[in-house]
Amino acid sequence: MSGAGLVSSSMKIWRSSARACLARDLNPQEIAWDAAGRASLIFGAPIQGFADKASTHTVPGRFLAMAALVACHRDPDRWSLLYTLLWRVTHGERHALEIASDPLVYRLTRMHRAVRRASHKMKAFVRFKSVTDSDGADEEFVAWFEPAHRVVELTAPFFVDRFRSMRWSILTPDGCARWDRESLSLSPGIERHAANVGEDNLENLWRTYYAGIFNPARLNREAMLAEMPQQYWRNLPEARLIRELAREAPRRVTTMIEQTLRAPEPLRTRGGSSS
Amino acid sequence: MDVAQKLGILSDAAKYDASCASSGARGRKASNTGIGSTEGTGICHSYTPDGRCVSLLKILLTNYCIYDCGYCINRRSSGVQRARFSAEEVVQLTLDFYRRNYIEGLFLSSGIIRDADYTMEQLVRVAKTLRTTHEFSGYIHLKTIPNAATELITEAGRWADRLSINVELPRQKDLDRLAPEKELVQITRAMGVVRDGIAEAREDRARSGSRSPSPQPLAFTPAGQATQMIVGATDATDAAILQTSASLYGVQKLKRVYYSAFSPIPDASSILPPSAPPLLREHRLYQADWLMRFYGFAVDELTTPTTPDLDLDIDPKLSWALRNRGRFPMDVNSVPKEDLLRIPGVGVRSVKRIIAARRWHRLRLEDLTRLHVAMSRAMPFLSTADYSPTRIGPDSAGLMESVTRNHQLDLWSRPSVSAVTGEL
Repeated sequence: MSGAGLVSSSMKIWRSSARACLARDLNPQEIAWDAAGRASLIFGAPIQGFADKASTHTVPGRFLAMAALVACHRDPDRWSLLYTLLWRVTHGERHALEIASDPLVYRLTRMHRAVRRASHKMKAFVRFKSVTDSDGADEEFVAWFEPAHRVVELTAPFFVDRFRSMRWSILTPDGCARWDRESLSLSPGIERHAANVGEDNLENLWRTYYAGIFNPARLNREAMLAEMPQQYWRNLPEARLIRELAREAPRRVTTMIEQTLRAPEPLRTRGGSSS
Repeated sequence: MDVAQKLGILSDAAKYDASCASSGARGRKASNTGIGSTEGTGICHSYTPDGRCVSLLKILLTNYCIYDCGYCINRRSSGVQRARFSAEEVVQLTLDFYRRNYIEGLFLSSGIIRDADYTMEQLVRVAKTLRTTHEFSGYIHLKTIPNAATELITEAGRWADRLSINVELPRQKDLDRLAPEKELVQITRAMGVVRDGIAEAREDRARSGSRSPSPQPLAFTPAGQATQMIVGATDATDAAILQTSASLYGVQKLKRVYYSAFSPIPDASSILPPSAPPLLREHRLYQADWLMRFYGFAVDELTTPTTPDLDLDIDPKLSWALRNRGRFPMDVNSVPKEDLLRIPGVGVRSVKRIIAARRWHRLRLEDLTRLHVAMSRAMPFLSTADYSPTRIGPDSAGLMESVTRNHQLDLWSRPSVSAVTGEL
């Protein structure tokens, strides 16, 4: 899919629609929101063009910071939930966000956290592959990634700050980010088969490291899954080792314990030779 | 031997170090011609099937070692296969992995070759090359070699975000038995060098002021120092381990103490327990550690002279609460923060949320669920606008049995990643 547009542009649309609704004093039950964050009256006309009649309401910075992230969530109810909270905040409950146990605040906080996590996991799990032209010059790095929420635009600046001297692209179904060492450009999402990113020679070395650092005596598959859910595995070059490492672990531990039981007790003296 | 073979040997050799954290660094971004950045929290780029985070390229420069520490896979008398990276190979691997976004940076340690100073010089050279030749701004964690010269430790601190020296065992008599070449006084001396370096750099920064036209003085180990203790290789009690931790946090100003359940190694020495690692005990020590650092508990509240080991069945906060029933139930709508932190099942973040929310609204039981309170543990110890517990007070028979049963269900229904979770 493409054409849904990048997230923060829809956040901008929602903000201006929400302002227009507040200016007309429209209560949340009177409004329907479309996927892009545009408002219309239930069974009625779109609401727009109220830029001149700016709302006099001020909103806590905390609300806007939360809304910017909730806007990236895939839940289609996000716009109406945000507007409902905005309505309460501007109608006598300015402190509503401080009551984390309020059911609406609780739900939005969970969405906020899910988006933050999706952005964090994108920073963690994007895997660049080196692509060079036929002379091996002009190295470029390309990654295909499938984020849990629409966090590409939100997270792209992180990659700029980190990989400033590299040319890179991150391709996703929601949108693509590209850095040419000077500027960041964003474009619509593409499908997996169109991304067509191959293997990178370093991946074997990376798998060697991954297998080496695993301690079979501490096998804990649930803890791994909690932090690295299976939805991410197909784009992680190391994930193909997981099943085998887990399966072999008990046998490796038994072998080590048996070896220890057979080992002779060495003679030990402090600071001296013991072999 | 090619780089892949060396990597296999020298990552396997490094995996018994629990720390892989890339946290605590101050924000830093890549220069126009370099790569690398750090954020306060660090990033785990992968997880192995042991549930542990893979954040840094954690390797040894070499696993040749002149020491003979009984618990260590790389000890002189072990039959393990040996390898040695050149400094350039480590630099190249770090950059190659980093560019592909596999890692946050490098955690480099080493067996002791020739002597302490020579080994330390090799580690420093890798870090310096990354920072200066390659303009690498990612995370670097270096192991400090205990007997190395002060100038070398100080130089390491200029290039590294974090330095660590493992105390390994909490008492000298444990070291005498298992690590005859190691001395606690040497280890704490090296920690002192790092601590003083950090303090000095902070003073320099304060003196130069934020508006000073000259460049800021170089940061010195901005993410502080850490250490590790092995648990279960000797008869040291949890009280002894936690006393050592408290002194490391207090006197040496350490950022983190890691606990590593002694785990069987290939070709192990027979003076060690040949058994599965005591993972639950390790988990309890992490919980106690968090209680000391973030909940205001002292060591002598967590263990007692008659019970010097932490309870394995229940978490240390619940254990304390059962020993101090007279202080409960606590009213979540009125008790101060210090008291909220003492309620079992109420974590630091929940306390913060409770304090913000109760200014506007008298909390009821259903609120607490949404504030992430672990209800099965907490309910016997608190009261709300619509609830007070029936079984509490010094004579509450059956309380221990009922919370223990609930708690065990909790414990096994959720995976525990001991080193990172701190909500109790």
